Amino acid sequence: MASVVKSIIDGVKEKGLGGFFRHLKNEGYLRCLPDGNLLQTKIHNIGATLVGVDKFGNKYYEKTENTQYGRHRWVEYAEKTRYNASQVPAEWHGWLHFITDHTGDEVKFVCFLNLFPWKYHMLRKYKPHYNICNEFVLQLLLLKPKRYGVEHKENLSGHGEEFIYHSKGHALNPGQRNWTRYQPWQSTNEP
Amino acid sequence: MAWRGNLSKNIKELRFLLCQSSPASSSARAFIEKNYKELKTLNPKLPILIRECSGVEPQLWLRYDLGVEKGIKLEGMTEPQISKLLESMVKAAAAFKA
Amino acid sequence: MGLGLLASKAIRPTTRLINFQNPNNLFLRTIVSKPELRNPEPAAAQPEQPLVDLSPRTPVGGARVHFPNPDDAIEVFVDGFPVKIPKGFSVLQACEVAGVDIPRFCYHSRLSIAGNCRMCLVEVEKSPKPVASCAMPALPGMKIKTDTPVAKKAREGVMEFLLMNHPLDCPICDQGGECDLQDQSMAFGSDRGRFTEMKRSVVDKNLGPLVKTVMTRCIQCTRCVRFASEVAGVQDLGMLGRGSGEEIGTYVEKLMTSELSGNVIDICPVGALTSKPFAFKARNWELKNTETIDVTDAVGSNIRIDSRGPEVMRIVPRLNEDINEEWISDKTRFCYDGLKRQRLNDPMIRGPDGRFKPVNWREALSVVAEVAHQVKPEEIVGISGKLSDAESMIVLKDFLNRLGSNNVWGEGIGVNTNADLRSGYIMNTSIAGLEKADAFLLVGTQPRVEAAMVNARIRKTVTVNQAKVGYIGPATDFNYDNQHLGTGPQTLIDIAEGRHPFSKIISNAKHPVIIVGGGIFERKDQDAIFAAVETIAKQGNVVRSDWNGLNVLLLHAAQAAALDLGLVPQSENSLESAKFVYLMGADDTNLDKIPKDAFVVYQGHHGDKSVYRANVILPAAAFSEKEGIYENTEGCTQQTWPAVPTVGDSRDDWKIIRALSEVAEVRLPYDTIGGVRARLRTVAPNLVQIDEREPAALPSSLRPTFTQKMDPTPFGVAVENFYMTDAITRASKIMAQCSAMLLKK
Repeated sequence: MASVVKSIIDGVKEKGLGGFFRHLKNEGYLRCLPDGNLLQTKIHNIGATLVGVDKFGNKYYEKTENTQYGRHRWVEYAEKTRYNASQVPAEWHGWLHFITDHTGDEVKFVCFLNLFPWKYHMLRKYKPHYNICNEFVLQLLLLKPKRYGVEHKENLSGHGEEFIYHSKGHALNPGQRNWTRYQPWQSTNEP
Repeated sequence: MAWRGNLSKNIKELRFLLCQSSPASSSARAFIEKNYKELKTLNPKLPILIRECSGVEPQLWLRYDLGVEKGIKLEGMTEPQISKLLESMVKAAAAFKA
Repeated sequence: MGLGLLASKAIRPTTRLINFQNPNNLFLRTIVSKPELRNPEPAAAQPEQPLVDLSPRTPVGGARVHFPNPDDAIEVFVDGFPVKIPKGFSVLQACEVAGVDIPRFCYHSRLSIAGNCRMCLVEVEKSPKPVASCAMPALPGMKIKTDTPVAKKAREGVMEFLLMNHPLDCPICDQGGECDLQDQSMAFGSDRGRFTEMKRSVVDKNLGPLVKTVMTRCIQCTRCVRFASEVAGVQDLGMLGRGSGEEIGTYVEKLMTSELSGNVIDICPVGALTSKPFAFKARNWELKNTETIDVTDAVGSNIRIDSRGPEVMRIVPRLNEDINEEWISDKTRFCYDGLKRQRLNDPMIRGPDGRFKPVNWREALSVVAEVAHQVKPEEIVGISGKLSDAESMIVLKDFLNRLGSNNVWGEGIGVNTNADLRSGYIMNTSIAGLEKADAFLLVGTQPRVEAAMVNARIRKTVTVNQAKVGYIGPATDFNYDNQHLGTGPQTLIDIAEGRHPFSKIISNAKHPVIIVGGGIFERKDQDAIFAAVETIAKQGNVVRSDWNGLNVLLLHAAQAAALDLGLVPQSENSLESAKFVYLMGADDTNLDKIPKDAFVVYQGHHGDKSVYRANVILPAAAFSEKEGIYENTEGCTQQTWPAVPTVGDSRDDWKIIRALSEVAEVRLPYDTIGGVRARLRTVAPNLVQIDEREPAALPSSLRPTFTQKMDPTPFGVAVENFYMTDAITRASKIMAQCSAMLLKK
């Protein structure tokens, strides 16, 4: 409780009252009033550590002590009004669902290491419990999706025909190919 | 006989359809065996097609100009009768042309 | 519950009262007893003789049994069933006659017996061990048992051994679904294996662009080795090594260049030799089979087109004892991908700038009809192509005759060809009849490239009958022994006058055969050559009442039907003075002969050569898309069936001309294919008797003798590139690969 009051006072001091209220609105606190879910998330955020932010702006929190098991990792979505679970990208999905302990931004970190291998000491410093030689395997495993992966898209069912998925033979599929099984005659020389 | 040389004047193609072994076509076969050589020598450019098929009735088909065709059944005719028939067809064709 | 309850109700009288008193009766079962059950003696005291079903049985696959001398028939007992077989039959063949199919891998009815797979083991009474039925001759009174525990155990054991070193490739193997090993292991093998060691693997061999080899899957049945040496006549393949290190291969880095090399794909019981162009394309259960006829050469081999949807996936041979047995040539087998490339799909008219513009049918037909009426009748010329069916040829002839033109001919038929007597241009000894021959004289024909199946038949005769072969023509290689007598008509004259030693061989032979090549029809002196051949025939007694050995080997699928219908050019320079030329699939005509201002209509299915000269293009259907009558070189009429739908906006050939006749106001009197066939009946009735061969009774010696000078130029080669002979094969990528890699240089 005390930390909350302290952070409010700090915020007002930094941004001024108007700025503070704008900041509140941007962070979604105003949406807390109609949306109880968001309110619960905001309350849970007190005392939690921000583990990382993904490319969409979703914030991932973790609170290990004094929390019910199963509620110790959660996400606060970037889009405060229309949010759903499919907005979580693949790299954070594992961490969020307690499948793995590798957070989504680790990939970036490791990629970074590919370009600047002399910065391995940074890895040692910030994630000392990881073994460096494991990192090569980790790099391999985490880099593989990048080669054939597509950008993460949330589930757009119900948003309209242009957005939803169509199979490759569907008329509304954007990438249509020529399905004729023969090649028509092409003249080989200029007439 | 002079008419034999005049075949190719008005007739474009001559066709004999007959069976290889049945008795009905025996006279047609005899006619061809006797006269084909002469007819062909006198009319080297005229196609005289002889088409055998088992079980078919003996027929003579003549093709005139502009795709007009006439077919005559040769069943029951003897060999000189066939010869006479051919002669009459040639003369009729010449008369028609004139 | 159930029937027992019903039976008990019948035995025990029930009244409604009892039921009412105790409704639980419904769930009580009374015990039903039978007299046999009351008998305390065990049932196994006297084993009963198994009842043998003595009703007449049909042989396996509907085969016919031929008794060469009927008094020499033996009787054997197959599973207790007595069956009469000719004397030299093996036990496996005897069981086949009795309707029992014995599993086998290495035995093939058309190849020599190897006996190395041991899958055909059956139990024979009074024999200490099971007997390899494919190799054991059937002796009179033998009692053969195929379903005893001994035979079954033998099969399970053999199957277990075969599967020991066989890789687990079924999901990726092309033969899955049609694999003998799969089928026989399901039917005759045991349910589990006991092999826990490492399997051996074999390095793959490169046999060319047609046959894909995965030699690890090979079960060393040696069918391919025997086929290559016996039927194809090339000693390419062999077995190297011993024991488990046995490998089938060519030993030297040699490709299989034989024109029958594709048949090893059918012969191989497992997926060791498969079709390279068909690799990983389809599974056999998703393919629709259509039984048609092949048109790449004049043999008319029976094929089965396997198609999936609108495209042809592969071509596989069909059994026809008289024409192609079970084999097809490589060109037939692999030309199908030419059906998908360079296809004409829309009618096109050449605009004033020289480029083609697609139009609709109405416009195209009206343009053609208009031009046809503007020219004089004798300036109209029609040429039908190599792959045209009989219906379209007769409709073309009728249409052009009605326009007043007489100049319709089939491609490859020279001026003054005598098409009058059928015996002058078909193979009078049928292809099956060639097996009786004992002397061959090949005049200006290379059967290996012109008609590969006829060549296979000649080879069979040469091997079995020790027939002598004399060949006149340019030097080529044969896969059987032959004497190269000469290169030109001079040798013919020598033989005709009896000076050549080969004429004695012909006169001494009981069944001599003379085969004249279809390339002769293009020569100017064809009459003289035929006269010389007739003289040889007369001297050698080649043409008799019971044997007609004078044959002409035609080159294209449409040639026999064209000659039957009378499509012979009447005059020498009809093409040079033409103003309206109708090319129906004619891609090999000499286009330079057509004058520059002539209006050329091309009706065909591939944009091959003649399209570039055409003014109007009318797209037609290829042989796999239409129902058409084709006559092969021996005079047997056969019919193709449509396997895939037509491409784009193309139509059947005869329908295009019928529509054209309507637009040009010279309407033809038939509307349906039945009508066209009725018309065919009045022209050449043998073309309507499908699947029947009409022999020509009147001999070609009836022809008048023309004194024509024989041209001393030596005979040429009619087919230069075996793999690229017509529009379809020229458009095919596989054929291009073959001609680059496999042609003998």
